[in-house]
Amino acid sequence: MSDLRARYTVFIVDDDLSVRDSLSLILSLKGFRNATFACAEDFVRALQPDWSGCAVVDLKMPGMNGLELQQMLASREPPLPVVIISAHGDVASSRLAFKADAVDFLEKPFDDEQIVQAIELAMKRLHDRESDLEARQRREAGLAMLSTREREVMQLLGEGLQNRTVAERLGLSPRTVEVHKARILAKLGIRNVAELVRLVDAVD
Amino acid sequence: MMRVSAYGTDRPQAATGSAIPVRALIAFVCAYPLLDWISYTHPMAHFNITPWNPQPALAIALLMLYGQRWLPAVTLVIAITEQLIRDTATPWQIDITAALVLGLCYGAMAQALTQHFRISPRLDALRDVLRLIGIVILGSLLTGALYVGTLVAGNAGPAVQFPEALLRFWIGDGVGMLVFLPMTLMLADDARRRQIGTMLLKPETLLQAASIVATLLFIFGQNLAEQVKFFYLLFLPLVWVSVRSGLLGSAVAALLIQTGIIIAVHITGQTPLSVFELQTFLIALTVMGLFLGVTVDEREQAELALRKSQKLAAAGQMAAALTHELSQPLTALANYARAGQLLVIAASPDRSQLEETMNKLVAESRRTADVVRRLRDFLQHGAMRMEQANLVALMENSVSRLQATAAAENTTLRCHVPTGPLPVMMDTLQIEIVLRNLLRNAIEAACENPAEGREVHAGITCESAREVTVSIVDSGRGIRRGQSEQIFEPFETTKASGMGMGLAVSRAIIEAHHGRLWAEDGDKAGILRFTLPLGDIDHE
Repeated sequence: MSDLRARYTVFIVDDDLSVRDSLSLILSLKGFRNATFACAEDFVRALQPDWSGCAVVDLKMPGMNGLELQQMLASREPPLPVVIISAHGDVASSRLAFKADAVDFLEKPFDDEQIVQAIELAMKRLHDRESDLEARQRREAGLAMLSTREREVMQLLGEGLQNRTVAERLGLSPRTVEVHKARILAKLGIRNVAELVRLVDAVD
Repeated sequence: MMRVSAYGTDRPQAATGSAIPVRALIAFVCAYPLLDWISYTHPMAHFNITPWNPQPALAIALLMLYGQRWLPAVTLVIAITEQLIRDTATPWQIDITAALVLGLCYGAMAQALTQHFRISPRLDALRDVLRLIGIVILGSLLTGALYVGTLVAGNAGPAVQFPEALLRFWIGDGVGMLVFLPMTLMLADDARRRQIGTMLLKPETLLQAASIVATLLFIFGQNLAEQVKFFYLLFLPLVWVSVRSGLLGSAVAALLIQTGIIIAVHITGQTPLSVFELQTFLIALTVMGLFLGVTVDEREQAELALRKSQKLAAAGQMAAALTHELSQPLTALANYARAGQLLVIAASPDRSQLEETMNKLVAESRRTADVVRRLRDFLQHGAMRMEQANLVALMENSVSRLQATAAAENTTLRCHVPTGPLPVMMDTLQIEIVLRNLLRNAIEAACENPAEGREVHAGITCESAREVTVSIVDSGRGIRRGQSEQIFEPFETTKASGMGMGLAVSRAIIEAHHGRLWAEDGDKAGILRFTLPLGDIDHE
C-alpha cells in the first residue's frame, strides 16, 4: 500500500483553514503526499493534466461547492476519485455524492483512521483502473501487430472452434492454423486459448 | 365526626380524594347551613323556594372532590339544615323525603361531572366549563321537578303552583350553583388558589371591584321599575374582569355581583317576583362571564405553549448552526492531537513541529470553547453577538450550502450580489439561520412548479446609505393577496408540510437587528425581503 502513497497525491480542498492544515499535517505524517486548496476554484485552476491522485473535498464551500467540483472532476481523464467531507451531512447531499461515484462521504468530525481508509480505497481504485488500462494497452498494441490471416484465425478460435474446423473454414491445413495460433499467443502475450476467448469477447 | 377523623388517620395513604381532610368537612358542616340561612330570603309560600341557593354548590363540590362515600353525611346535613332553617309545618316524612331527593340529586350531578365527564376542578378548558354549565342547568331542573313533586305529592303545596315553583327552584338553584360551584372548585385547587391570591393583590382588581359596586349602586338607586332596565350595565365590568383575569376573575366578579344584589334587595325591599327576575338576568350574566373567562384562559395557555415552542424552535435552529460550527474545530482538534501523538512516537530530535502542532491544538480548543460560549449565551439570554461581517460572503456561503438541496429538487438557485465585500453589523450565526430559512422555504415553494420552471434568486441590493436589502425570489405560486402578513404567524404556512415556524423566528431575528422582514404579494413569484441597517448602530 505504501507504494501507492508515494505514487499518488491527496488534494485537500476545504475553506476552513484549520481543517485543511490539520488534515494536511496528519496525512503528511502518515506518508501521504498532499496539497491543500482553500476553494474549489483554486484547485481547478491549479490542476495539471498529469496530476494523479484523489481529492478530499469539503461539501460546503463558498463559490463552487464540493458536489459541483465532483461533477467537474468526473469527466477528467485520468479520473480523480473524490472523498467528500462535511460538517453538515444531509441525506440529499450524500445521495448526490454517491450517485456521482464518491469514494466515501465522511461527516466531520472524523477519525484519522476513517479518512486514511477512504483515501486508500480511492488510491486502490485508481491503481486497479491503471492496471486494467495498462493491460488493455498491451493487448491493443499486440492486436495491432497481427496480420490479416492471424486476425481471422484469432476470431474463429475466439468463437471456441477447434483447430480442424478453423482450418476447414479458412481452407488451410490444421498445421498452419497451429502455427498461426502460436504466433498470435506470442504477440498478445497470453498463454492459452482460454485467455484468447476472453480477449476476443472483450474486444467485441 | 369521630368516624371521620379515625378514618383519616388510619388510612392516610388512601387514594387521592378519598381521604377527606377534617377541615373540609368541618367547613362544609358549618358553611352549608350558614349559606342556606343567609340566602333564605323571599321564600315562595308553601314550597319555601328562595331566589338564591348557593349551598347546593358546596354539597356538589364536596362530593366531586372527595367521592360519593360522603353522600349519606351530606344528606344528613341537608336534612338537619332544612329542619333548622325552614318552617317545619310540613310532616317530617315529607321533610326527610325532600332532603333525600336533594342529596341524591346532588350526588348524581357530582357523579356526572367527575365520573362521566371527568371535569378537572381547575376548570381550565372550555369543554369542562361547557359541561359544568350544562349539568348545572339540567340537574337543577330535574332536582326541582323531583323536589317540588315530592312536596306536592305530600300535600305540602298546591298542585296548581307546580310549574311556578319548579321555575323558581330552577332559577334559584341554577344561579346559586353557577355562581358558587366554579368558585368552590377552583378554591380547592392549589394552583388556582395561588392565582386568586395574586389577582386580588393587583390594583386593577380593586378598580374592577369598585366599578361593579358603583354599577350596582347606580342600578339600585333607580326606582323599582327601572332597575331591571339598567341591569345590562353589569355586563361592562364583568367583561372587563373576564378579559383581564379569565375564568377566575369572572367567577369572583359573579360572586360579588350576586352578593351585591342580595344586599340590595334586602335594603330596597323587593318583591320575590322582581328578585327572581333579577336572578334570571344574573344567570345570563354569569354564563357569559364563565364562557368569556375560560376562553380567555384557553387562549392564554395556547399563547404560553406557543411562545415556549417558538423559543425551542429558535434554539433548535441555533443548535443546528452551532453543530456545524463545532464540527470544524473538532475535526481539526482530532487531527492535531493525532498528529502530536505520531510526532511523539516518531521521537524526532526536532521539537519545533511538535510545538507548532500543540500550539495549533490549543488555538482550536479556544475556538471550540468560543462556539460553546455562544451557545450558552444564546440559551441563557438569547444574547446576540454583533460583529462587522461581510454580508456578501455570508449570502454566497448560504446559497452554496443549499445548492445540493436545490439540485436534488431540480431547482436552479442563483445568487446576485454586489462585487466586493459589504460589511454589516450583525450576529453572523443568526443571519445565517435567517438566510437558510428563507432559501429553504423558497426552494420548497419553487417545487410547486414543474421541473423546468423551478428557480430561486437570492440578491443583495444597496440602494441607500442607511440600509441594505436582501431579496429571496422564487418561481412558486407566490403569496396570495392579503396573506403577506399572515405567513409570519407561527404555525402558518403555505406549504403542505412543515410547521411554518421558520418565518416567525426569522422575523424575530431580523427585528432584533433593527431590520424588517416582509413578504410581497406576487402572482407568479414568492418574494421575501429583509433589510439590515448599515453603519454603526447601537444595538443595545
